[in-house]
Amino acid sequence: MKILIVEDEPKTASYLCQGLGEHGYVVDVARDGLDGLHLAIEQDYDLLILDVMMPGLDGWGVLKALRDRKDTPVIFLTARDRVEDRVKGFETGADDYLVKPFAFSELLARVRALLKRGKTREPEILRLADLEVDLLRRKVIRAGRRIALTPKEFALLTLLLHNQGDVLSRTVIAEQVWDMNFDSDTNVVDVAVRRLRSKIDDPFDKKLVHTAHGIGYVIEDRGA
Amino acid sequence: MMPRGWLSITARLSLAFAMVSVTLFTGVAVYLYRALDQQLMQRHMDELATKVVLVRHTLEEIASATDVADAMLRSPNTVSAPDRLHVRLLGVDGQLLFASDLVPIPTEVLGSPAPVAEVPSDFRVWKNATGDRYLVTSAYARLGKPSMQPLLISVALDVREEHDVLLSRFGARLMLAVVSGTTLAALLGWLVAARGLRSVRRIAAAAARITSDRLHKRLDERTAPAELADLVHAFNEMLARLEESFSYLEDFSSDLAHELRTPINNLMGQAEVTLAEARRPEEYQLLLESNMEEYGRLSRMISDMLFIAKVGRYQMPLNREDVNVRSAIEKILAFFDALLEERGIEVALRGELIVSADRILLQRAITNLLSNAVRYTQRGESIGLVIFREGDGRATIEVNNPGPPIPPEHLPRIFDRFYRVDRARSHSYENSGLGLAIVKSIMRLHDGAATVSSVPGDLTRFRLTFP
Repeated sequence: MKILIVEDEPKTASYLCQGLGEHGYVVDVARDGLDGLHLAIEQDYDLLILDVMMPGLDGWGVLKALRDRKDTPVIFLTARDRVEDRVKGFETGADDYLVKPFAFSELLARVRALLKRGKTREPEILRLADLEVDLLRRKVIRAGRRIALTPKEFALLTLLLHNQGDVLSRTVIAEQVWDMNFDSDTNVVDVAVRRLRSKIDDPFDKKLVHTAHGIGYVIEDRGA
Repeated sequence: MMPRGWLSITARLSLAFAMVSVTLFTGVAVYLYRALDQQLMQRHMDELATKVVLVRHTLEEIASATDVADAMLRSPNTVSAPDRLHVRLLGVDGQLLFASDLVPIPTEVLGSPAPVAEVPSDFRVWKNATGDRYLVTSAYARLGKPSMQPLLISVALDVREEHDVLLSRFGARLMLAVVSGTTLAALLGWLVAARGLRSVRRIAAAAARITSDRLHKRLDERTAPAELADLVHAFNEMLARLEESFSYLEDFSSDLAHELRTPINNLMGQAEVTLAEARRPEEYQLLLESNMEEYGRLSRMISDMLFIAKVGRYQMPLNREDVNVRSAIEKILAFFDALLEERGIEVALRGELIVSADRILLQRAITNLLSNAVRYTQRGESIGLVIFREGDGRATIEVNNPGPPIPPEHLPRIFDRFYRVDRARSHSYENSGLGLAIVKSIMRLHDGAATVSSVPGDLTRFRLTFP
């Protein structure tokens, strides 16, 4: 999967490039709008990450010129969060919109969602190590033992499993599991994850749910 | 000087004064001139009539036409003021019997002579070749012998000296009076206007002295004239609003700077200490994880601040819809379920209402109130969520919790940004100090209100009231 980042701020471009690269994407970086547009037209990218505010040709300009030729999915990054900007973004044909500061995990989740869009069918059974989740029958089994979960705990577990190996932020978890589309200063997500762990991890030696301090949570098999 | 209109108010007022007075003065002058003219004319006519009567009297005493000239010269009354008044007597056939001098008045200007017994009433003005004016009249007279034919008396009065010259002198004086009166009126008008407008200038000068660092100054409303009192009052109110916004902004920046200080200090200090020596990778990892927590807090603070700022400038779109408050709260309770269970806190939800509100913002407000309540509720106690209508019909959502009351001095500021009742907990991960400020902003956006009451012996009650 090839991603093009068009971003004039070197530090941002650099950490995005590194982060996406480490998650298995092939990443190119353009430092201004004209280079970005040129690259985006000449080469075949699966996704564009576009900064709105750039000297010269800005993000809107790049997207407008690009949309005449190609339908590459585009995620906008911006430091300005005005409603008009958001509306303009979607009207110009942006597929997603992230306001700085944002968590890298959130960007990653949105990149995945855009690249996955309409491509894969949901598997019926999710597996990780000796954990097995049957989505149709809503059954959770670990090491052969059936584990009873509340509906929200089940939703939280499947969300983590769908994104195995990726850290999910508290905001994303609250949004996906409880449909709470705003930040709140509660530690509800921490408590919910703790309770999930008490059921699927605590009775077993191998821990699957891990805390990424200051970022969020991830489920993965880290060996013994 | 700032550019003005094409004429100042002072100039306009004095011009108006001048126009009014020139009209008035001219009117009066014309009236006086005419009145004098008529008055004089009447006197001349009386003089001529008297002369006619005197001449008739003289003629009645003689019997023959040949004696006329002698009798006229002998009678002292007939030729008084001989240089102004001219008398002529003509016989029936037109021959000249007597003439007081040589002024030849043509017969055609004599008009219709008054009959013998009547006072002359037909007066004519005649101008001679050199332009002198005469007032002329004529009448018939009878000699002492009734059988004799009547004679024709013609009398002419030279009015140049006593009328025309007098009148033109009077006219000139009137003109002078009009001109100087008008000038004086314009000058007075200018003085009066300038004096009257002095208070305007004083207010402008006072207003000019008010700068951003002297916003507490006000214009004096007591000394302002009645017409300007409203203006001064409105101006002062505007200053008050400006001052409030200004201090709000100042507080805002200083609050923000203070709140940023602690996390930035932590970040700098930890990084500095860690980088001072070579360390094991795990230690770097620990540092970065700790940093991430601070960054997360900063990032949330920034988006909360921006949220409040946007609401303050009414830039937040409000997607109003009919929201079933009970089901909205039930959804929030599902979110809080694990936390409440872990803390051993019960929740009682009562009532049901539909309100017109932005669903997401309303949920955010209630979530903030609930997380605030959870923070101050002890294990085994119960939080109440009550949906009801006030006596005046306003929809209200109350979140109440038991526990020690909030000290009264905190109540007025509890919805302020970064205001924390419990200073010691001010930098906990959970409490950004913006939760209640966001609640207040959201309610303001809905034209509603967020209130709190907390008295000993009662629950602490936070209420959201919709208009």
